Parts: sequence; structure tokens; C-alpha cells
Amino acid sequence: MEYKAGKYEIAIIGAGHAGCEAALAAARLGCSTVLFTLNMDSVANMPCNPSIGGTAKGHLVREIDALGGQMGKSADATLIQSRMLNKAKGPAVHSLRAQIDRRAYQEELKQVIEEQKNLDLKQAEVTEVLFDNENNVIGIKTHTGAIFNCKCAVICSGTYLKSRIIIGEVNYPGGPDGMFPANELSTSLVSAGIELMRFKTGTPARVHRNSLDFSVMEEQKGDEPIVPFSFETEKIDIEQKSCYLTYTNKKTHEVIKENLDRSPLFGGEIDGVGPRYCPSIEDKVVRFSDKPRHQIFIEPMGLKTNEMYVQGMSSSLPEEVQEEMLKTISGLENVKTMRTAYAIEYDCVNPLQLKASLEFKNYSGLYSAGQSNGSSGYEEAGAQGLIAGINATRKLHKKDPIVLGRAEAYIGVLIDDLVTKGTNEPYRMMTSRSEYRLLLRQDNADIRLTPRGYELGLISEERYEKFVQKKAFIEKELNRLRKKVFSPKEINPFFIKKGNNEVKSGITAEAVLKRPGISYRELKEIDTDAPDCSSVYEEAIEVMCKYEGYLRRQSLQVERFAKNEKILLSDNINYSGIDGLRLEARQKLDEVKPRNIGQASRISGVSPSDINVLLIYLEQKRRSGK
Amino acid sequence: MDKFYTIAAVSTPPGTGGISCIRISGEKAFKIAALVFNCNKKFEEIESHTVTYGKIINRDKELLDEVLLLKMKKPKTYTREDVIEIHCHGGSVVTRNVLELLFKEGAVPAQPGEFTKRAFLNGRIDLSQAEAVMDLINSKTQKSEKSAIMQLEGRTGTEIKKIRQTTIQLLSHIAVSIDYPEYKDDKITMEEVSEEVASIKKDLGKLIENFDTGRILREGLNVAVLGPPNAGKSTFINKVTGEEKAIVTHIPGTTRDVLEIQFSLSGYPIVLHDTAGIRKTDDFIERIGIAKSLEIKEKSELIILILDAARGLDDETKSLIDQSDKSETIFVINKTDLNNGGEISEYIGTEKIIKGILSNDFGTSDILDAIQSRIEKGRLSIKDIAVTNARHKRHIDEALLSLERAIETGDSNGFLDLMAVDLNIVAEELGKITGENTGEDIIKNIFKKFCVGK
Repeated sequence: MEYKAGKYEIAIIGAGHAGCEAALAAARLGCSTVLFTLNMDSVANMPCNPSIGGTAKGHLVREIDALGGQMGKSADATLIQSRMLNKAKGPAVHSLRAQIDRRAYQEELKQVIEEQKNLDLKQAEVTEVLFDNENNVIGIKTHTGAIFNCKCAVICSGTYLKSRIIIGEVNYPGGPDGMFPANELSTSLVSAGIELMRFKTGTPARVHRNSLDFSVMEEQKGDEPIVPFSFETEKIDIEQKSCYLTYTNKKTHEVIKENLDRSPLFGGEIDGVGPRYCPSIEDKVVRFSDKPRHQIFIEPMGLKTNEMYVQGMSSSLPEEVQEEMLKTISGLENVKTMRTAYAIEYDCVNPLQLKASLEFKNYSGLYSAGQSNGSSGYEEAGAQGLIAGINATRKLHKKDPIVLGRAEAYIGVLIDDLVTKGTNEPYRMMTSRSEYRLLLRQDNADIRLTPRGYELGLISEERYEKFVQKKAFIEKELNRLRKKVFSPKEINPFFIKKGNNEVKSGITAEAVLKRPGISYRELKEIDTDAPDCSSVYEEAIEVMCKYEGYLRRQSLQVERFAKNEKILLSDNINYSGIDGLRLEARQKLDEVKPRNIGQASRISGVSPSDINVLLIYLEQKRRSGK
Repeated sequence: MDKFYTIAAVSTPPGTGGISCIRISGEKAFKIAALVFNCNKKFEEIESHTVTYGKIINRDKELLDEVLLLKMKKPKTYTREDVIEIHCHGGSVVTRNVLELLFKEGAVPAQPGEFTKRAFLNGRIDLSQAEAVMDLINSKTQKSEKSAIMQLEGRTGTEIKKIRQTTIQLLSHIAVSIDYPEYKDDKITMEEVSEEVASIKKDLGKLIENFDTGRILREGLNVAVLGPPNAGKSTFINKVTGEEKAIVTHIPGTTRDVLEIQFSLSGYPIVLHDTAGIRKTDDFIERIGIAKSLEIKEKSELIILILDAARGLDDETKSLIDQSDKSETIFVINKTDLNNGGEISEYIGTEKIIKGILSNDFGTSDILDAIQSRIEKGRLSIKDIAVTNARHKRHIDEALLSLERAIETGDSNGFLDLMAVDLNIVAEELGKITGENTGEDIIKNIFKKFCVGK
């Protein structure tokens, strides 16, 4: 049974963090868009941590916001605790992390979607993507037989494809948080010729707040004042909730070791590839057997619930073993579990099949974003969703896709890694994945990306105007600092106070600021010409001035890097026919079809000499074309 | 494309010939050459495509070599860029020092086949030859990779790898502290970082300490000629040098001191040490000689053990064979005209034994070939750890510079992210020597070494 149900320009399959960003971006850019969710009550759900941000992930949220995405704003509206991590470790790695009221976040985003012009939200399981004879997307079909015509479709299926829940010896088809899995879409994708992988992840238990003894745990409060994610959020004034830190102990580890034979991870029940950075507690105990304890964080799930998330205890051990193991932990002796920890296995797309625009190379109009691309995390998903949504509309508007560079944004690093190197485990963003992280800071995400967002049409005139003013202000102030000179008489008392060496001749404000241990704010005590500005501005000015040498060196590296990014490679090069290339390089290049020499050089198995051969090949083509 | 850089390399094959030629190509070729070349006119006044006699002078005004310099203005050059050729006359060490100086003045080492690549990209080479150029790049790369790996075998290579690994460990630990700030147990302290950085710098510094005076290249490879008395050691040395430097008699124990003879084997400087025959003796002076022989044996990179077939497999011969390290010994059985030496070679047990009659010059060249092949295969464990390759040195210099910056940053604000940037450069530069890639290494290491994650 099927029937014609309607027509949209773009269909988004899945309303998680990728799907929501994709749908909102597409609708905001003027395309008629439909967003499908398996369950109206699971829109923008957080089936794992009730938190957004963290190292590198906080950067992603800032970048999403700078481009005109939603995640940062909704997080600001619903956060219940906020911290700026890594404050002592340098400007490039300051990272925002917030505890979120999970339910409030869902409601907030659902409402934003409901209010969005050009966007329809529908509860339906999409079972098939429809193509014409040339593999162009022409529509999608739902479980109930409804056919919606569309020109582009974005797969944002998260962990729902043929997902299986595993708890000890028990396992059954099921999605996260007790939802239904999507069983049919995988089959249809595979029969269309798309390669899927099987990945695994997991989540710990949720326990009742009143069953915990916080007096034996270490309280972790939020930072004051709260720094918002969004460049548009002025101020967040809330009473913050705490998290609590406790530890596993010898007894916990004994319980786990005694029951290892009942763990599907070690018994071979789970085929999917699990992430290294998200090991289950049994994994930790086995692999790091010399560690006497592991950290456990107790995080609130929201304001109107007593559920608490037990970070660090992800597990797929049988339910009764989990219970026994939790009770060994200090403060959890009388714990009441509300949701059991589980492992989940699911199908996802091998991202090597995608272009950097996130469109499939061989299926015109079909995009994929988020966990369905083998990534992990809400922020990674949101970032890809935003880019896929933007690029789907650009395709319809016959514009070139946007591809952010590795030197431009963490989003660029994320997508480039996925489509160039592929991944054999759920991919998590980390600061160490970025070569140019001093330039990709969270404080300058707007400077890097807001002009892009404005060009795309996702940043309002008003916001852009403010941004231009901010940029001009910072530049003007940096110039002033370079020119302003303090006489020894003016500055030496300040230096003495700060334990810094005195000077015999005049010194510029810039040079003063470059000295260790002197902050921009402190300098303002004696720098009477300094203009008033917010702490966000102060941070940007201080970083740009203090680390100028490092920033300049990274910019030079970027220049060198950018050269190869500009030498383009067409999609229809037949690499297997280029004799000078080594066999492995030919195969890899044919699979990835890099868009430029730079991307080609990042493919594992392509050597510098292969790149030289490619340059010769390009020159040969160019000359024979003449 | 790296048109941007000016490249330099020795373009004559290593280890052979009296003259070696260094080629420089690129925008700054003339500028760099002018900095190091002294002759009786101004550099700008040297006409294109002419040969000029002059001296290569380093920054300390020291003379490195007397050379002939060819200045060739673009576009009529091999690469269609400005090209300089320097013909060095001082042998391999001098050439290496000249090249090192050019790198200091701003040239970068040419990649394999890069001159030809540029010739093609600049339109000098016909399109029909494109395929040949591609093949050349790959075959040259393979060769140079091979020889680089060979140079790296032995303790220097192991040491660089070890230092790089330490750097990766440190970077991983920093990365964990940054990416998993909530994990208190795995946090790295500033003291730990400073200590590690200092120790990496010290280890790396040691490697190039001996670079300028690299013993092997300066003094030559130490080859000890050992054997029982009157086995033919001095005969061998005389044949090699063509002079009667060592006194040859038929009286066992004639050589009581250690003789040193320097000569060049296909361009490789060699120091041959003739030694007193090793045997049990009551002669006091001879005993001193024997003690010295053993000392020489210890400090030599290569041993030529000459055994006497006429003696047969006696106890002294046995004990000499027992005490030799097969990996650094070339076994020679002499006087096979008197006895075929079957029992001796059986006792040695390796297939690679040279049999000869040295007095008739039979077998001498086999021994020399064996020495050269050992050198070229890089199978010698150099007793001094030292980096001797100019390209390797350059990467280590870069790494050291970054380490200094890291130390400075550590002292001034202790920001791990900035220090990590410097340390990343260290790992990358060392990786360019060992052929390893940094990227995934750090992430792999994080999850191998640290227990983090929800």
C-alpha cells in the first residue's frame, strides 16, 4: 500500500541533533522542508549525557552558532550548570561545557521547529529513499505507505538503524531510551548500493537522586558568571545545579571481574566496533587493571526530574550485576536504578562514500549527517547536520556547496577526517585532531565564521552589524595597544607590584601585555585610555596580543597548507590509470576521490611521492588540454 | 607545489669520485650562493653559464672548500629556475658541510626527483616524458627511502625513534589533560612537562653534538685487522696501501705496536688498524701489543679476522673465533694454498668466509668489497651515536628550536596548548627522519595509556 502524501524540496530523516540543525538551516534558507521523527516525544533527545559542550565539542557548538545554527541558543536557554574548562591550560583549549535540562531542551527545540516557517515536523518511520534511474533522489516512503516527493534527502538516523540493545545475555531490537528501532531503512539503503558499517556505543544507568548519599562525594559547582554558548545570548542568570564526583573501588572491580563471562563484550555477543574514548566500565577494569579506582560523575538530568546520570559507568553487563556493582560505590550503597545501562549496536554509513559537502558521491541529492556517518556526540552531529542542511539548499539553488577548511573550523576538521580517512569506530572530536588549534579558538568562532554565515543567509543583518562593530573595536584596540607607550615612571610601579622586571626606557602597551603574568584587565588599572568592553572582548584582545608570535607562526603553517588545498582534482580522474602511482595509492584515491591535492595528501596510503606524481599528472593534463 | 622554496642537494652519487657536485635551484639560488661563495669578483658580476673558481666560507669565516662554481640564470637551465652548481673537491665530509651551510642560509633539501619534477612543471621537459618523470620520482623515492632507512638502522635510528616516542607520549599526556580535564588522576603537572621537555632536548642535543665532527666521517671507519701471529695481517695491509708500511717477516710477533693506516675506499674514509698477533706469550713487549690489539678491537666498528689455514684449527684460532661477534666481523682464511682451511670454516659456521692467498694479492679485493658492502648496507653499529646526514641534522635543528620555545613558554605562562604546538613540531620533524606520521599516533596513544571516557 502506498499513496502520494505530498511534496517538499528537502526531507530530513531523523529529528536528533543532526536532523534538527539540518531542517532548521534548510527551512531558514527558504526551502520547503519536512522533518521526520520516529517519535514526536524524542525530538532532539539526549539519550546519553545530559550535557552539551566540553573540550573541542564546546568549540563545535560555538561554530554552529557563529554560522547561524541552533544548538548554542537552545543550550543557553536550558542549561542548569555551566563551566569553562581548561582555563589554566591556554587560550586555544578553553572549552565550555554545560549540564542541560534534557526534557526542557527537547521541548525548546521542538517548539523552535514548530514555529519555523517552511518546516513541517512529522512522526513517521521513513523506510525507503526513492531514486530515479540515474540515482537522483526523487522522494522518500514511510512505514504507512506515504510517499513524499523531494529533491534532496538527508539521512540523520543516529543510532536507530537496525539497532539492537544489549544488556548481559539479554538482547533485542530496540533504539535508545526505549524507542523503536528503524529496521527497514538500512535494508533499502543497502539494496540501493550504499555501504553500511556496524558500530557500537553504550550508556550508563540513570539512578534516583534520593537514593544517593552526596555527603561522601565531591561537589562540583558551576562557574559564575555563566559564559553563554551563543554569541547572541547576552546573559544567563540562573541558579546552578551541582554535579558530584565519586570513585569505583576494589570491590567494584571484583564484582566486574567475577562476572566478565557474562559480558557480551568479552563473550563476543557484540559485533559492532565500540569507541575507544567511550569504554564501558568492564572495558576500563580489564584494560587498566592496575588502576585502583575510576572516576564516576553523577549528573542531574534536569530540574523536574530526580533521575541522575552516572557518567563513567557505561556497561553491558547483566542487570543484576550492574545493580551489585553500583552498590559498591561510595555514596551509591542504597542506589535505586531507574534506567539500566545498555550497549547499543547500529548501522551507519561508511563516510568515505560522501563528498565534503556530505552528499553521497554516487547518489545525487542524498546527504548523510551525524551518528549515521560514524561520528559520536550531539555536537558532532549538530555540526554535520547544519552543513548538510545548508548544502542541500545550495544544491537546489544551484550554488557551490560550502566546505569549511581544516584551518577554518573544527567543523572542517571533523568532516574532512570523516570523508578523507573514514573511521572504524564512532568518531569523537578532540582538540588534538586539529593542526591549527591556536587559530580555531572558541573565543574567535564568530570572527572565523560569522561572515560565512552571513553570506549563506543564516545570520541576520542586525547580528552581522553587531559583529562588524565588534571586529572593528578589537582591531582598533589592538592598534592602540601597539602605539601606546608607557614611560618608565608610569609603568615601573606597576611592574614592581606584579613582580615583573622594571624598564629603563619607554615600553608599548603591547609589550607590557606580552609579559608573563599580566592580563589585559590588570593593565587597564593603569592604562587610562583603554576603552570599556565586555569580558568576551577582553579575552579576544588579550589572546591576540599575548600569543601574537604563536598565532603568526600558525598562520604561516596555514599558508603553506592552503597552497595544496587550492590545487583542485576533478571527480572523474581515473587514478587506476596513472602508472606512476603506487597500487595502494591508486585504490585509495579512487575510493576517496579527493577534491584537491591537500585532501589527497591526507589519505592514509598516499605518500608524498604519489602527490608529486599527481602534480606531474595535472600538469600533463593541463598542457595537453592546451 | 613547492616552487616557493629553493632546493639544494648533492647530485653526484655518494661515496664515489673525487669531485662531488651540489646543485641549487630556485628563486633564492643566487642569493644563497652569494652568501657562501668568495671569489675575486662580486657575485652579481659573474656571468651566466660560466665557471668561476672560489672558496666556500662559512659564517665563522672558515674555509670549507675550494670549489668551482657554475652560475646559470633562468630560463636556460635544467629546471628553468636560477641554478647554481658547486663542484666540491674535498671529499664527502666537506661536501656534506657545504650542503649543511646552504641549508643554514635558506635552501631546503630537495626531495627525490625534485629537480626533474621542477624541470617538467616549468615546461623544460617535453610532455611525452611525463610518464618517465613520474616513474623517476617513485623509483628515486624508493631508493632514497631505502638508503635513509639504512642510515637509520643501528643505534642512531633507534635513538631518534625513542626520542620521538617519548615526545608522542608527552603529547598524549598533555592531550589527555586538555581533552579530559575532569579526569584528575591523569592530569599532567607542569613539573612533569618541564622535566620531560628538558630531557628530550638533552637527548636530542647529544645526537648532533658530534655532527660537525662526526667521527666516522671525520676520522673514518675504524677497521681492526686481528688474527693470530703471522696469519697475514700486515701482508693484507701492505697490499691495501701499496706501501711497505707494516713490516712483514716470517717471524711471528713482528708487529708489536698497533699501526694505523688511513685510506679511502670508494670515497669512504677508512682507518685500518694493524695489530699484534694475538697469542699467549711471555714476551713483555709483545704482551703490551696484544693488550693494545684487544683495546683496538673494542673500539672498532668492523673487525677483519685473518686466520691462518696452515695452522689449522688450533686452540688460539678457536678462541679468536669464539670471541668474535659475527655481526661485526669479516672472516678471512689465509694461506689456503697450504691447507684448504676446511675445519676452520666449519668451526666459524657462517657461509660468508673469504678464502685467499694474501701474499699473492688473492682475496684482497674481496675483503675490500666486503667492507664497502657493510658500510653501504648500514649494517655497522656505530659506537658513537651521531647524526651524520645533513637532512636529518636539519630536522633535528628544527626540533631543538621548537623545544627551546616550549621551554620558554613553559617558564613564562605554562600554557599547555602552546607547548603542545611546539612539541607537535618536534614529533613531526623527527617523524620526517623516521618516516612516521604524528596525527593518529597521539590519539592512539591516549587511549592506550589513559583510561578516560564516560
